[in-house]
Amino acid sequence: MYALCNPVLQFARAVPPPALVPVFVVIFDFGTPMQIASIVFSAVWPVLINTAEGARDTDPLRLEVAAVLRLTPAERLRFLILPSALPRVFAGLRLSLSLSLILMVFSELLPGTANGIGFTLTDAQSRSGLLTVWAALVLLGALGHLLNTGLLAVEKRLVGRGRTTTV
Amino acid sequence: MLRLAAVGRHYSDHQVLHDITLTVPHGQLLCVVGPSGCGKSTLLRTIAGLLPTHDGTITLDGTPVRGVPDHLAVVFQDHARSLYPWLTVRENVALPLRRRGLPRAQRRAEADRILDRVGLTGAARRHPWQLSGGMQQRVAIARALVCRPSLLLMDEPFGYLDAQTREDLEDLLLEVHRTDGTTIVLVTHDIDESVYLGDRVVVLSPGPGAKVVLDLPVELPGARDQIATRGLAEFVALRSEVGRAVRNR
Repeated sequence: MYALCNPVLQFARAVPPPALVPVFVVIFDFGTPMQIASIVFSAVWPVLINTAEGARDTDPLRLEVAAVLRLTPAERLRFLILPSALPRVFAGLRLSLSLSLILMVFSELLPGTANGIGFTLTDAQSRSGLLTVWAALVLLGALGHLLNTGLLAVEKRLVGRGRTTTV
Repeated sequence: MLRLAAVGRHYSDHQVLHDITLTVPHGQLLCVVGPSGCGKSTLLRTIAGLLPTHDGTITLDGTPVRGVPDHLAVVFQDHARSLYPWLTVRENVALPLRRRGLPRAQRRAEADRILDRVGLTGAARRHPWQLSGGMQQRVAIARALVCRPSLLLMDEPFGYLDAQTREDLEDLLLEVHRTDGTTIVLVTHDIDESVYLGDRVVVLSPGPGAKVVLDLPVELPGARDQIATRGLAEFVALRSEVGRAVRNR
């Protein structure tokens, strides 16, 4: 299953997400749906691949324990595979978060948008509104920092202290 | 009763176990000894149904073993890896009880009862990584005992522990065996331990193609005691006999 899906996943991941924005423009035309689609498409891969790797890296001894305890497949997923993949899932989420911000700005640079930070940025640039350019950059930095802090807090809660993260 | 008839296992053309025939009567504590890498753990995993047999058959109480049988529990050497670190001690111990469809409160009570028994009163709400190695292995033993197994398999269960902790856990195991009458198969490379714990010691030859080279009943007078038993002339004689068999002299 993994051997079958992995090449496809790796290929899809290897395509730089911004390069796909024109494709989404063709499919969805300009506007919010296109922007959301390109963000989703770029954010999905790091999470998907890291989750798959995390699940695959489940300790073989712990799998034997699950077999000896005769856990049902659902129990095995809940008590073993998900918890042991969780650190990797969050590593993927952190990557996706930064990619999403990049894609958000990039998709707003294209024509057809009338608002958003990316739009404001290019608009101010063309009008030589330096102050607005700096404001947009600071806003982006603050936004990224805020989202990352939020994600870390959630991770700390879910993954817990003392867990050995093997990322 | 556990019965192995001409059990063999191989990886491609590399023979790991060869023609192992053994009968373990109900309530016996059997120690399997052999040099490192001789296939002791493979034998244990095969009995547990984690690995298929290639030759011969294994039957437990008359039923052929295919997959992990009911009423079987295993304690592995590596306590740090065998426990689930994201669950509390109580959750770890209660995990096998889900299968029996007990309500939550009863699972908790049952887990706490068994934790008391292995000397872990008060540790129920902690996580395994907050405990010492010896305590972690107690948790693993509690998890194995909670379903009252009829066959308990132990793979070098005290191998990672310091001498003092090891003796404490050996005595805990003897106490459990005396009160519950569980059939136990314990794999170890420690000759002293095998004679001290076992009702019977089986020695495997060094691999590849390990087979039984010695099958020895252990009869020691009186209750086993870490100091007194190890000083007995009978103990020393048995230990030498097992030692010679292991070193093939």
